[in-house]
Amino acid sequence: MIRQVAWLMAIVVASGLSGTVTADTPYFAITIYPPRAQLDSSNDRQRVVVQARHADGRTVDVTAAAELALSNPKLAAIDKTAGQGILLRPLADGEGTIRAAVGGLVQEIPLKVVSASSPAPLSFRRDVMPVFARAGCNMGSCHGAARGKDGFRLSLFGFDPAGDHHRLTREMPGRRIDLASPRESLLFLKATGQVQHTGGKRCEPDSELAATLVRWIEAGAPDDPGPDPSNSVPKLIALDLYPPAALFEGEGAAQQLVAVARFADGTDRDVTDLAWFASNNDRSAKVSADGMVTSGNRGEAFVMARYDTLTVGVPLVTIPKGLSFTFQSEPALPGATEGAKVIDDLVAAKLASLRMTPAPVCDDEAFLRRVSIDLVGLLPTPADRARFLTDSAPDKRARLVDELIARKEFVEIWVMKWAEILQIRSQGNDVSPKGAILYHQWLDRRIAANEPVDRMVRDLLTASGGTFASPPTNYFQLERNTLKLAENVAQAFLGTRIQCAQCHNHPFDRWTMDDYYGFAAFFAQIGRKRGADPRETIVFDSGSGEVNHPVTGKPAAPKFLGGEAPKVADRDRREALAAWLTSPDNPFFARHVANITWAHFLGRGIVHEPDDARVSNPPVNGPLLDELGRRFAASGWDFRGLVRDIVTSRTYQRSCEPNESNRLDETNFSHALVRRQRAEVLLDVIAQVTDTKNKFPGLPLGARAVQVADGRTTNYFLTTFGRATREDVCSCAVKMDPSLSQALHLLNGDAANDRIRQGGLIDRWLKEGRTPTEIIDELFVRCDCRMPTERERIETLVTVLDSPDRRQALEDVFWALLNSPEFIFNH
Amino acid sequence: MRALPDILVALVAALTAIAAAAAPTIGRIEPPGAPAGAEVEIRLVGGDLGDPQELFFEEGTIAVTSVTGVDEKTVKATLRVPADCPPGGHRFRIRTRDGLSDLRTFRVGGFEQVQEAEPNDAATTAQIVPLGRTIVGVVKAEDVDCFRVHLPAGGRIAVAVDALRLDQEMFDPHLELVDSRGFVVAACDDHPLLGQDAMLAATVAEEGDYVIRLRESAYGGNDGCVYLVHVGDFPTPHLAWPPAGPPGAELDVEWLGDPGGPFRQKARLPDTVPLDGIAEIHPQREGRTSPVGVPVRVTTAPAAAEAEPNDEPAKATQATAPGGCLGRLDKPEDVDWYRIVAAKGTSWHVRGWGRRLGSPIDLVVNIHRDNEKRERITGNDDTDGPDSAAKVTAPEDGSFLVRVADHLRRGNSDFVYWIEIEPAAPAVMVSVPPGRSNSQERLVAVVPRGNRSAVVFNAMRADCDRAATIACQDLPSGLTATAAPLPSNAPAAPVVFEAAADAPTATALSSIAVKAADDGYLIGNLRQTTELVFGPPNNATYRTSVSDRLPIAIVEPAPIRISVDSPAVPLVRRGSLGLRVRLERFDGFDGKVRLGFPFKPPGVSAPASVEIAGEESEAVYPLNANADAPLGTWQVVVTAAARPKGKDRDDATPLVSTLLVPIEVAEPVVQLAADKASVEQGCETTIVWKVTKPGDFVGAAKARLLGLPAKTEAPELELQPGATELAFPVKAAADAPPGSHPNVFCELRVPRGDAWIVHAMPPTQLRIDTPLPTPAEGSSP
Repeated sequence: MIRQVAWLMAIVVASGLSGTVTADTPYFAITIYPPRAQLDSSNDRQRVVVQARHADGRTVDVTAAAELALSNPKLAAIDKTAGQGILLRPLADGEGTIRAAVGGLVQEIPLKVVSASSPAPLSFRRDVMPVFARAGCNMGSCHGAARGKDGFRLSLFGFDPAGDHHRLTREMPGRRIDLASPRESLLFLKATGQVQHTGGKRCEPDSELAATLVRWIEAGAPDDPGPDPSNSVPKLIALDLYPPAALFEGEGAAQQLVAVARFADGTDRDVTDLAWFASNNDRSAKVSADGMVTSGNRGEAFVMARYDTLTVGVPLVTIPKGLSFTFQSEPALPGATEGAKVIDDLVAAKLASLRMTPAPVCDDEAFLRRVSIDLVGLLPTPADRARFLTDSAPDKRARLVDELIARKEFVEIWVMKWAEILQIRSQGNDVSPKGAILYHQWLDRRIAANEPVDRMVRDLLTASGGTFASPPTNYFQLERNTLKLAENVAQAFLGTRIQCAQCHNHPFDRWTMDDYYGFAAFFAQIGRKRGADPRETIVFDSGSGEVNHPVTGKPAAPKFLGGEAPKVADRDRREALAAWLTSPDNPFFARHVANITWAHFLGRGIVHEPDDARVSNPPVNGPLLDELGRRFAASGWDFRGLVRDIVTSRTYQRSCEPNESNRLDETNFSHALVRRQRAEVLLDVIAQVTDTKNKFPGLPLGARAVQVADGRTTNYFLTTFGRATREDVCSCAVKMDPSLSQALHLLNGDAANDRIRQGGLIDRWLKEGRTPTEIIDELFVRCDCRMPTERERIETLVTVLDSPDRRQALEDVFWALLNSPEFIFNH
Repeated sequence: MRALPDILVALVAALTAIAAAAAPTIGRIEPPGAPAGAEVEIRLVGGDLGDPQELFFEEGTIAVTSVTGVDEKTVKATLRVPADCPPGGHRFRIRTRDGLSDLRTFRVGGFEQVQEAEPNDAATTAQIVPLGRTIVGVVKAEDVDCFRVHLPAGGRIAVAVDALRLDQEMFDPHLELVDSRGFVVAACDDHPLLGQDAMLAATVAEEGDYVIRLRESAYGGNDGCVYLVHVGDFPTPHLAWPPAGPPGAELDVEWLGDPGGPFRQKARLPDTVPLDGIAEIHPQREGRTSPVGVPVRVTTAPAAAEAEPNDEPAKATQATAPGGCLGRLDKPEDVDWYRIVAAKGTSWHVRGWGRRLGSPIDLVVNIHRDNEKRERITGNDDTDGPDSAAKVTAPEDGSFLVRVADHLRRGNSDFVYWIEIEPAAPAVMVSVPPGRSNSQERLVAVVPRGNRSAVVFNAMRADCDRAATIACQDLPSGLTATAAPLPSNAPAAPVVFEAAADAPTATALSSIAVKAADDGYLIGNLRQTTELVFGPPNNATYRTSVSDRLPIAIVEPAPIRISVDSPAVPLVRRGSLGLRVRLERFDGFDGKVRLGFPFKPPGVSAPASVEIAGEESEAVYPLNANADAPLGTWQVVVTAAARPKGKDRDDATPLVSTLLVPIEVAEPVVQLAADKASVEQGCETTIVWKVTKPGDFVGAAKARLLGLPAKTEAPELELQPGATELAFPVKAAADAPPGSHPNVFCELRVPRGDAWIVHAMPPTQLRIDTPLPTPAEGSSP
């Protein structure tokens, strides 16, 4: 995926990031896919497509128009009648090339044919199981349901081929499979719709899928040979989807995809007919069951193919036909860090590929308010505003960022964010309120000291000792179930959700049950005992305990997600895991922390949701995420440095005013997003502007909402505005959507009105002899970090002066400001 | 006091036989302590404190110069604490006209006291305190108390707080020292020496004002969260090296754990081994004495110091049994091995002392055979809190091995331990079990003049199955004690205390000795743990106090007295017996009386309580024996609590008792058994009980069937001596419930003299069948 976006970027950069698209531009290059063709048996074949590229990056599927030729025509037959693409069939063993020519452009790829005269043996796992997947038989809504369907069960998405073979051949002998009369087998009759089938017709009687089933039954419905059939067929090691990207111009353009599976024995296979295709945005690019993509409206889509346990995808972009577009490159902002410049370059590259013009940088007032809320969870005071506006230094924004990052409120914001990820809360007898507070304090001290994030997470994951004496051990108290703990760790620190793979191979991601139980095995040996204090638990490495794989019933060996199985004998398994997880080479961790941080400041992750990275949910800008992660790890995991990079970038400081080209864009950071302030921050800024104090159970008067240590602390305002209870590791636990109950609470509840009264600011200012105009100006500056417009000032003043109760009228103005979207949102 | 939800209290009250004696309670002591040499007026706040007669300090060191009742909830007293008064908690109670309060402690130690002055919730309003003072205060709900001290550059400050150790409230303090910019210089929540209480020390670089901040660890707090904060520049070690020494020895101690580094001091240990085996020594340096005592194990066991390297069995340090192993795990992953010389077959307790001595260690002790394979015999982690205790019998002549490790494989110079190997001597220790709704209930004997009161002692036998007797010594004038024997199969035994009508009211501590029944040899004594502070989760115990003496109070007369008739017949296995209890009422008392049966011999059951209504003067307490109840004679007792009219509690007056009364558990005189029977609805059948064990009795025994299903009936029959069976005709009504009824049994009352011995025979089953359907007309059979 990353490679694919990089390719897209490369062509954009090659085209100079600007230009005008016209239909008659000649092709710049053509590419044959796959990059090499290999035929391994007499019944093997390979689909080939040819994609042409314009200099500005637009692509066209030119397979039909291409002239194809073999360097040695005896090797293979070219079948152009196959419908989509071109099909190569083996004729004789040997090596050569395939040559394609379109519009004067020529490209060659190697071709290799082996075993051209001998057919590949039919394999249950390689040939029959994919039929069930492609025909949808083993989906959750069909026979893949936990109890099967209509008396017949298959393992969901085929996680248990041995079990499926047993059920097909040993349950109801003679019915599902009729060896004497294969075409009378229910398996064939139901799938082809020849008898009543709740799932309807899944394939035609003369289709290849049906033919595979019949051939298998004719052969005696064998399982794969050997004492361990699962090891008798070569393991699938990769699935490639071609072409790696496409940039469609206008509606109705088409591109055939080719899916090639690669196996451990070096063979490959065209699985375009066996793969399952889907698009995440049918409006921009729709894909047929056979892998034919058709473009639609302007936008991006990610088209996926799934075969066996693997899912891969390619990004596809559709731009309007005949769009005139020029991308203006912009200089870095004064004081921007090197990282900020890299961010800006990579975001610009993506925007240019989408033909989007980004919004300009916001003005000083908007920046001051935005960055104050984001960095310290407070509004700038009128004095802060005056000082900042009168500062004429060009790098004043960068200096302001440095000042804010040094404040303890900055630490508190990130303690709150990490407290959500670590789910810090009291929980029955497992975590006492004292344990939760000590856990919170531990986190606070780490973040205050800007301790490298890798060390902090490593210390957390390997924590042993008492939950009071060694507070990060509370992490293992908050979730004592081994499997759930493993899921939490994957989601919290790797940004991936492996929950599905507990029961079946993940349908939209790479995780299999082997991955899941191998990962869970790292947490199988956590021991717990009561501490000297009855509220305390000692967490330790017990050195024994296993997680059994439900399919094999045997202990799963600890194995890193997508990585190797380390040696863990005589050591705390968690140490091995933590070392791998926080290694700079880990493909997930640094990118995930960078993405969480990015999402905080930009309102949306590069992967969205930040903890749901999967094959089918790719980053919108892979190179940007890669680079953020790489730089973060290379910096010694300097979190403040990462924040500085993001906040001093032009990308962060863009205005939220969209232009014609990016009006619909919510994902590519072409303009700032208007974001509702999160619950804790909103309550704190209301307390700040009204000069009142918060009171939370278990905290002294005046504590800020962001300081709440125990996630179990209840508060009506915070609940209404979607504060996370920290019961769930999911980043979605923080609700940022505005709702009617929030509006009503601000309008009618005690949050605005009572606090205005309680703070008594209006009274105080009137007693000080301030004029209504001065007070109105002060209120606007306090709440919105700006002076009122002339019209706002006059209209407000008239209302106040007309009122018999001036104090009441000014309080009404205050109330109206607190209820305005401009106050509630960060923009 | 243990607080339970109301519904649970009600349930427990219904389940337990007896209610508490009239029990004054003390909730709060203000101030909770005083320095040695001070004269102080204290205020005790609690319940039922009207008419206080004595403030009774058990050790008698603190002099009470006056006790005045203010109201039902408040008592004022003046104390004189001698200058040489031992520091620490001093146990005391209040005796009122008719009760003795729960146990509380008054803490002696610290410096001249100053009172906390609110508002002091923030650094800006912090109360100024000089060094060398003890602040008396309270952390109310979500309260933070701040105290300001001024320190010179390089100045040292030490702060220690007594909170949970005041034995009053579940108050877990958190202590911080903050500089003028708000940065935390030092903080302490739990201290390895003090448990939940806190202590910190720091040397500051800059001259200036520093704020001591105190709060509850989870921002809790309430009016009962009182504290003593000692502020000074005293030393703050938490561990002694060596951590153990013989009684009376002058120990050359190196104090560990002070931020200023280790220092030495000569410390004299007490001449006798304290009850809990520990003496608290208050470290001194440069004329400053710590208000916090550091525990040192006082023991006669000779020490074998660890000889490094001893981290593998082949290099084990030689030690003896009895004896002690003195060592430390000085680096992570360290383990220490000891070879203990012991004769084959001898039994030993191997006890680890670590956390109890202020060491951070979480001891794990394993015992291995001293052979080539070194098989593990036994081991222990946490029997004594984090400390370990195991019992081992030497498997072969010569020696066994002891392996010492930390549970988390930690180690440094603070990981000090003392492993003590003591002979597993046979013993019978006794204690009074804690009450279920109030753990301090019944832990004392409160005897009204001219009346009786019973205490039931549980026996804890260690390798000793000898029959024993309980001897109560040092009784106050006019009081006698009668103890039931404690046979080898008895889990407990009651003791009845009786006060003469003219006995003076008094409070005393009685030594309770357990002696062998045959030779009078002392084989045990009282070891009473009193629970003082409870907290989450599930009302866990946080503070306890141990004593070897039973508090006894003689109080003013009670409004009732009870006696019980000695039963004329035995209680047979599977049979029942009614104890006739007679009640005398005095001074016009006409309220209800609730009887209890606190000691149930093995296999004997009785209801939780029996009530005597206001107008009645006797009741029968029913007892039942199960089929396996051990045979023999037991001394039992019945108690009574009077509830005056208008009172909703049973503990308004002291709990009185009968004298001990013997009951004999005997074999049944006659035994019967029946086969299963069946009957069709509307028909009659016979249940035949065959005599399986003929009995020798005079006259006719009376038999009836009990447990018959509804709408069935059988007549009462007589069984003559020599009869071989008893046939009960049983009639079932047409609508008698069909099905199996498995609990039909025969009650047989066998005459003896004027009384009846009540038997119950093993149950049989009666099945009621529905009639077969009538065949349809014309159908073939």
